[in-house]
Formats: sequence, structure tokens, C-alpha cells
Amino acid sequence: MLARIGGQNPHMDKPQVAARAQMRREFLMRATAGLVASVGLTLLDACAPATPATPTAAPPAQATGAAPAQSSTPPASTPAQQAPATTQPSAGGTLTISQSVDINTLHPWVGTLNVWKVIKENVYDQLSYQDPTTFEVKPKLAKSFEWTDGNTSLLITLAGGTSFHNGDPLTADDVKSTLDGIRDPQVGSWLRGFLAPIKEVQVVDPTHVKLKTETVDNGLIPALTYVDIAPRAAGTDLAKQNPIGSGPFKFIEWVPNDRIVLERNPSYWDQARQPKLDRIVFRPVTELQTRISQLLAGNVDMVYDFSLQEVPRLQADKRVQVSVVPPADQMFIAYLNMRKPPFDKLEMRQAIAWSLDRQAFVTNFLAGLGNPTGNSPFTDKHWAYEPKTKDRDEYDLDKVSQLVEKAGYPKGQGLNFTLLVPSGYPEFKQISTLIQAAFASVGYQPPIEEVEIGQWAARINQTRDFFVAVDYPPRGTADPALTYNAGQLFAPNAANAGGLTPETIPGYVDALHEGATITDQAKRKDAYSRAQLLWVDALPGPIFAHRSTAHALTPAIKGFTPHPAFQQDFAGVSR
Amino acid sequence: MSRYLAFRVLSVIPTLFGLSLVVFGVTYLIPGDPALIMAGTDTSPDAVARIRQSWGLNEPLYVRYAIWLLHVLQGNLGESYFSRQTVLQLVAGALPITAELATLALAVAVIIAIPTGTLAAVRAGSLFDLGAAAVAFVGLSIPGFWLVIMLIYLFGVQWQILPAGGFASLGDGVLANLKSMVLPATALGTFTSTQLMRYLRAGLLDVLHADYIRTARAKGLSGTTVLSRHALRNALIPFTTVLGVQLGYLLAGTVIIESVFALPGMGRLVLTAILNRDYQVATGIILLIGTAFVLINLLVDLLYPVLDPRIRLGQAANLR
Repeated sequence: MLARIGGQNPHMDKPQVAARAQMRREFLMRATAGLVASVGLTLLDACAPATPATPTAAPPAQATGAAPAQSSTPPASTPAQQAPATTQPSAGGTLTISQSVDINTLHPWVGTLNVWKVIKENVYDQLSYQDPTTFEVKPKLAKSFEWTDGNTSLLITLAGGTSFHNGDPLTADDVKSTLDGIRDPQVGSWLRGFLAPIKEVQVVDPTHVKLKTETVDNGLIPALTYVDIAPRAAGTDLAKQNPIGSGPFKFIEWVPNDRIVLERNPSYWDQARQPKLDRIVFRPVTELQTRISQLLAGNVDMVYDFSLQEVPRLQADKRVQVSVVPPADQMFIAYLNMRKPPFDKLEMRQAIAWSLDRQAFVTNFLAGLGNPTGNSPFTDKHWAYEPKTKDRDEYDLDKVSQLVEKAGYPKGQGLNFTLLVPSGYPEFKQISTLIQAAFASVGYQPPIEEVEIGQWAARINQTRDFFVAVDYPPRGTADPALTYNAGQLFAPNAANAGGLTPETIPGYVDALHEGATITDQAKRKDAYSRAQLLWVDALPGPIFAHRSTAHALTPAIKGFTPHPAFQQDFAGVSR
Repeated sequence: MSRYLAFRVLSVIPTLFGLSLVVFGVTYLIPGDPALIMAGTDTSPDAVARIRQSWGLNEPLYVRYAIWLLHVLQGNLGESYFSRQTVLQLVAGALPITAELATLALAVAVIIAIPTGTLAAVRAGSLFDLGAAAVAFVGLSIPGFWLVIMLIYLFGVQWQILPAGGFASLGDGVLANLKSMVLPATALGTFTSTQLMRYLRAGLLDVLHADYIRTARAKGLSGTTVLSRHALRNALIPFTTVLGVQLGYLLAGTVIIESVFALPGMGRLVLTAILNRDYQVATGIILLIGTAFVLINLLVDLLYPVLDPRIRLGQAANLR
């Protein structure tokens, strides 16, 4: 009884108390029932299949489906790549873009994250650029490129009349200081390998720069698409200062974990590329569902690069348009550590290549938005693609069993290896799980080691404490010379994850050198065909499939053309 | 008393030293390499080595600890390898957001917990009490991420009355700021409210059975007066202590909530720092939080005799 002392007025008689209590109870019950019904109905609605987009005069950009148009030389933009433009967009306004992670540096030459590439492409200018629809490499800051001095110098003629955001003119001195800065080992730029053919940078006059090389290098002009020209006065420690470029947008601020803000450069030099937007705000949002919710709620205008498995759901939602970039730049590969058993044996490397059901992976885990044709760094639309690689390694469990036995591990006896995957990369784990299941069927189930990304990278690159690790390193698609130039898979150098050396595959280095240095296109194709076939013969790392990328945006956004290598230009975008 | 106070204050020094050792050791022993994260996997080992050298990561661990401790004692917690901002700058930007979130979440928790806990105690065994218990049970049982997703879906996407994520600063307007905080604070505070509610109910039930309550009733005081002036007042003393403990859990909860709602607070800052192996930021923030806890505990210990005159620290033996 004491428990009720405080709850009721002791002067109130019992019938009154009962009546009031009854009224309150009824009210509460009815209100609760109403609320529950309302929430329940809403949740039922949420769980129901999304309403298909109704066809309109200006349909949202669609994915190309299971057989997407491919790179690397598509003749024109596909509907998937270009946002519809039936209404005349108005200039100005702010574009808010959601990205999956925050940037980790402001240094244009050191930062490697795709989210940073997307931003800095708009702050800095580069000497050349890769057209996102034709994939051709075209001059940008440079007016022209010309091989001179008996093909031992690349003469660059600058457009002239360009200036940095601080008003200083952009001259050949700035180009030289940028190239020298990237080539400086102390800077630690990932681009240094791309510029390795350069022996010296000479300033001819304020609008002419000469890059001295030993011979023609076909990868050099494409490599310049990655080189952001910074003012000489800024020096090389560019991480500690706000970026000053000459691009269509000025850098305003970076608030870690919150936003990066760019503002229109009203005096941008290129009349054909005048920025239409007033501001661009990049928001790092790590949770995928939050990113999508923000887009659907209208809190952001664009979700840049998201999981392909979400594409069908968003394509069915009329509030957004989805833009899918056909497979080009990103390929799924497996680093195999050839320094130790069991992958020092060719048969075991081949067994890994034959163990993945690529079609099932693309269909089930990439929503069909990928190219299951692997074995080559290039998609089957690329000029350098060697079709003979197509059927070299497919999915065949009997073949896996035979190869494992031939390698000296009958029914998997004596096998000991693991599959190393980083947390937060579901596709790597999905491939690893499929490989695990395939090997389990032949007698050995390799454990999957899931570790945090920092540890994953350290074990592959530093301690080399791994057996198999799936990755999708973006490679320069602008030219095969770039694809094979640097990195940890194709180039037989100290950085190679699997331990590939020039001696591992006889003739491979010669083929790469030939492809990079001769100008005859047919001979180049022959050289790269040889390199691809030699690769699948020795198989230092199986290439499983090529992956599309997807972006979602509100229908109000016009003029967005996604770039397959994340060198994203927002100058032509409006709302 | 003064000897006790001096001892209590001085005991903080070895505690903080131990804290610094643990924080530094644990942070630096996490496998991974910030230079590699910065350089990316496509960079040559030479370039990675140069970045490590420039960041002082080639030194032995004890040397790095000594240098770090020396800087800390000078008030310099270091700077981020990545953003190149000082730890104090980063904390100054993130702390107000987390403080606002934790305060609002605590307010949500208290606003829910006190009336429901009180009513549940006063009407123990009633339908309301059972309902509150059921809600508390569900509240404690449902996964936090599910609640968050539902909140975002309902209020952000479906009804579009609150932002689905992101932070609006006070510069964007007080209303915008509060709107950006409602869902995170509700998500964070709801879970805490269920614990507080059960705790208050249990405490209040004990008090309501105490002799002095019966005496108060016998003196003819109204039920409301007995509840508010005698029962609730006493029950709220241990409740307040639990509230302090819950504040710590709330701060820990901000790591997930801030990540899901994309709030640039301390939780997200420390999570990003750990994932990036941004040692200076991670150690700096954890040390700051740890130091704050140590100092708050010290303050609470020192305040006990002020709050409760029956407590005479250091003289317990004599009193007996």
C-alpha cells in the first residue's frame, strides 16, 4: 500500500480515483495503439519493395545491367554515364557530396585516397587529362606535347595566361618545381614511379618545359594527368598548408570528419570549363546506410561511390538517379606470396585462379555490375586486351583438385595457408569466402584472417606475412605503360607484394619495356599481348574480374559525368 | 583531513603516469603503420620508410615515449600525422560537439527516466509498472544500431522532419543545430534512460518502504509532498551517482553514434585516429579523457564531505 502513497491524492474518494485512472489508462492505451499502428504501417511500408521508377520524359540515368558497356575506349558517353539534361540548369548554388571516408592529407602529391583525388582534381590543374567518356588523354594546362631531340625530350607548351588562386601566374617554373618535387625521394610521392622516365626537367621559357628522357615513354603524358601543378613558392611540404591551385574551384577549408569546402574560382582561365556551382561541400560519412538515407532525405545531393549491391534498390527509387561507370579501372586480384610454400609452386597459384566462380561473384555480390572476364588487367574493350587470356583460368573444381594434387598436396593434405582480408571491405571477403569454399571441397579449408586495414596493409607490404590477399588496386587506365609501371602487382620491383622479380618471368620485362617505348600501335599491342600471356603462364597473381563503380544523385543535379579513375571534374555540374 | 587531502591529490600523480604508460603502450602496440596508410599500397618501400622517418617512427618505443611525455608535460600533445593540426586544435573543434551530444542525451535520459521510474515505483505492480518494465527490457535488448537506423529512416527519410545525419553548427542557427542533434541524442539517451529508470524505481521503492516515509504519512502530509520532499529527494542521491557513471558510458557511446550520424565529435575523432594509426591524436585524446576521469574522481572524493556532513574522510577510524 505504501507504494501507492505518493501516486494518488489521499483526499480523493475511490470512485473518482478509479474513474480518472480509467480515463488515463484508456487515453494512454488508445494513444499507444495509435502510435504503434502508425509506426507499424510506416515500417511495413519501409519493408515493402520500393516503388519502381515511373518512366518520365527525362528518365534517371540507369545502370547498364549485367552486360554493361565497357571501357577503355567507348566512343561516346553512355546514358549510364551522363545525367539527363532536359531542363536548363541554373548557375550557382551549393552541391553537397557524401563520401565514404574523410581525406587524410591536403598534400596533392602524397595523398592516395580516391576521395582526395575527387576533390583535388577541381582545385589543381594538371598538364593533361583523361576524357571520362572517350578515355583519350588530352592536353589541359599544356597546349601541346611534342617529342623532340631525337625522341629524348618531351616538349610541353603551356597554354599561358593562367594563374593560381592567390593571383600568382602559373609558369614553366611552377611545372618544373612540381615535377622535381614529385621526383624528390624525400617527398614520398606515390607518383614518383610514374615519372621515373624523366631524367631532368628544363625550363625553356615561361611557357615551355622540356622533360629529358632516354627515349619515348608512352606512359609519360598519361602520367601527367595525375600531376597537380602547385606554386613553386609553396615548396614541397604541402600537407601543412591550404591547397593553392589553379583549378576551377578554390579550397576554402577542411574540418576533419565534417567537411571540405570548395568555392568557385571566378577568374578561371579556361572559358570552356567555367565552374557553374558556387560551392561544393564534401561530407565524409562512413556509414553506407546513413549516406543513402541522407540522399533520400535530401540532406545531400550526391553519394559518390557506393556499394554496387545498393544499386538495384536505388535505381528503383524515383527520388534519385544512379550513375554506373562501366568496368575500367578497378580489378579484383589476389596477391599470392611466392616467397614461401605453397604459392612458390605454379600449380598452387593456378589452383587459386581456377577456384573462384567469377560469374557467381559478379552476379550475386556486384549486382551484375562487373565484368567476370579476368586474367588480364584490361577489359575486353581495351585496345591492348589479349583475348587468348580469356579462357585460361575459369571456375573448375576438378581442375583445382588436380592442380592441388600435382602440387604435392593430395586431397589438400599438408596444405597450410590463409586468406587475409581487411575489415570493412565486404567484396574482398566474399571472394575469399568463395575461394575458401572451393578449396574446402577438395579437402582443405583455408582460414580467413580478417584484420583491420592498417594491419592488412602492413602485413602485405612490410612484413610480407601473408599467403593470399584479395585487393582491387586502381591502376591507370590511360595507357598500359602506366598500368604496368608501378605498384605492387605487375611491376617486378621492390614494392611487389608477391615477390615478382625480373627473373621470375623470362621475357616479361622486355615486353613491358617494348610496349612502353615504341610508338607503333600494332607493335605495342603485340608487346602487351606477350606480357599478358606470359603473366597467365607464370600467374604471379590471378586477376579475377573488373568492377564497375556507382554514384547516386538527386534528379536536380545536371551535367555530372563520372570519371572511371576518380579524376572527377565538377566544373560542368550544375543544379 | 588535510593529510588525507594531500595524500589524495598526490596519489593522482602516479595514477596519471601509469595512465600515460598504458595509453601510449597500448596505442603504439596496435599492429599497423600510419606511414603505409598515408602512402597507400602502391608506393615503394623507400617512400614509406621516408615518411616513417619524417614522423619519427623509426625511433625505439621508449625513446618515442620519453619525447612524447616531455612534450605532454609542456602542454604539447603533438599534431596529427595526417591533417597536421595540433591535437588541441582537433579537440577544441570536436569536444563541444560531443559535450552537446552527451548533455542532450543525458537530458533525454533523465526526462524519460525520472517520471517513468517514479510512476513505476509509486504504482509498483500496476499495468504501468509492468509496461515500463517491458519497455525497459526491450530498450536494453534491442541493438543500438537497429534503433538508430529506424530513427533515421522514420524521422529523416520517411517523414523528413529531422536531418538523416550530419552536423549543423550553431553558426548555422540554433534550431538547425538542435535539429541535427535530436536523433543522435535520442538514440544515445534512450538506452541510458532504461537503465536509469529501473535504477530509480528500485531506489524509490526502498525509500518508500522506509520508516520515515511512514512517519511523514502519519503526520498527515499529502502523497505528493511525501513523494517529492522526502522519498524522491533521498532516492535521487544514489541516482545522481549513477548518473555520473552513466555519463562515462554516454561518452563511450558517442563513438558509434557520431560515426553513424556523421557528427565530427570526439568519438569519431578518436575512432578515425585509431583506424589511421594517427598515434599522436589517439594517445592525446585518450590521455585527455583518462585524465578528466581521474580528476573528476578526485573532485568527487573531495566533495563528499561537503555534500554529506556525516562523511569525514580520513577520520573514519576515530569516529568508530
